[in-house]
Amino acid sequence: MNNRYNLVDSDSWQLFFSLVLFCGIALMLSIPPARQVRFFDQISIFSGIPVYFYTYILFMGIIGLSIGTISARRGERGWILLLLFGERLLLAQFLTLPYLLFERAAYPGKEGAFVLIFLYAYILSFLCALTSRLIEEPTRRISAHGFLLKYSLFIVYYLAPLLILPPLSPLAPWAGTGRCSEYRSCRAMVTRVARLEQGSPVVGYDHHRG
Amino acid sequence: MQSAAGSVQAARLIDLTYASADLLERTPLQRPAYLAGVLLVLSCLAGYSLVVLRVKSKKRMLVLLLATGGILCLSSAFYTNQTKVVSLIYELKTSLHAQTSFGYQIDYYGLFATTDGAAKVKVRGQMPIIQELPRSLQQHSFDIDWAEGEGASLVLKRGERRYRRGFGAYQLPLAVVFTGDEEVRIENNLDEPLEEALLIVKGQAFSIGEVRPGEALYYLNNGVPLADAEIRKEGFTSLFRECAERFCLADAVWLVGATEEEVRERYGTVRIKVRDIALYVVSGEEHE
Repeated sequence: MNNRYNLVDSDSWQLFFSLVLFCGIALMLSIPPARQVRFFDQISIFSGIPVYFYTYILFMGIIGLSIGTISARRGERGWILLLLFGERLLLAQFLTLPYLLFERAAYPGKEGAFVLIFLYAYILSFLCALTSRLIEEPTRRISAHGFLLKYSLFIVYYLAPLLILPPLSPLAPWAGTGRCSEYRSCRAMVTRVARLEQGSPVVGYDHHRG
Repeated sequence: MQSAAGSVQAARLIDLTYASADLLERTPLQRPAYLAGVLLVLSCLAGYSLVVLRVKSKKRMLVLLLATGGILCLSSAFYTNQTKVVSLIYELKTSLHAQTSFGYQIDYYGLFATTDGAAKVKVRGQMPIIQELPRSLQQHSFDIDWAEGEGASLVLKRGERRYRRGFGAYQLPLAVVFTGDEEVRIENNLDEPLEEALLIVKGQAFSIGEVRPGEALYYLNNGVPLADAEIRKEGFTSLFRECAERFCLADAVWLVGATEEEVRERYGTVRIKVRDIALYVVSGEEHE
């Protein structure tokens, strides 16, 4: 069995580094560019779009998928698998926590929503990791199939609804971060997690383990 | 009576709409600095990379990563304090208090929203306020709720500007007596000092600095022609020029004072940054 404290190795560090880098770029893009009221309308490429939250949720999902793959490659099983998922994802979130605190300045009075975003990203990436692990397990020897399958599902779940039915996408709740209440954010989040649980093989996974 | 009426500037004739609208357009938007963001991102990347690449022991690496992250979290939290937090609504209150033969007050309220939200305008006194005509056809919101004693509340859309105006009679508790070539007696019964004041005597302007509450004698020196005079506080130049023209400040004795205050208010979850600037124009007496 793998060392429980082997949370950061070359594979996982690449993931964490990518997360910190891309969330950092998103953080820079999310700073309102205008210095005075008169420039507010002129400079507005990402103005009004919660770029940071979109990137954060998207990359936490990708991190979840990649952690699931790493886990499958190493053959981690049992309760230690869940523990390692939890710890790795928590560490990934902790590494980007300075950004989340910085981003707080752009959404004053929404501290409650930030806690929800943190929890939502954690749950979502955990479920992505489990899904990825389950897909990778039988296709480990032909990894291209597993890769294509899980990323296709990921794109469908994250991005396709944005074109057809935006409220179904995990990216949707943050579109209104600037104006909706914590209660509404929470309700939207719970709905999405419930949908994900119903649609993903996570329930099946629990049954297998049971 | 006719001459007295002629000496009074009717409040409706003094239009500070454009001066106050330009001030609102020049209002700085509060936000975290890009440099701070870049430093934070670089610190995270460099700090974490250094720990992972240098430290061999896995347990020590984890502890050091957590310590580095903790320090960066604290730095980030301390940096994004009240002065860096984005305000959702900016309000500029521009007031002109004038005391000639009669006293009156004109208030302009300029509002700007960086996001959709409701704002509450606290109105001075009991004056009802009216909305200025739109400066462009894009601005088309006119809804406003008014509660006597509480003020006005209105809903703004993102990027929207709204201008309000109110006026009424107001007896300014300021008296100015020019007693000779080099001194002036000022009685200030306001609760607050005039942070910057100019005394204008027959076209010559003298800076007398702060005028504190109470009665005091001020000495005049280093006068400059009215055309070259200015109030050094940011944003007052256009207002001062407008008033100099309207009140014919080049004639007789005048006191022009300025005060400025910046406060942050909250209306529900909406954070409002209010810049309150006031210009006092008082006609003085001359006793040689």
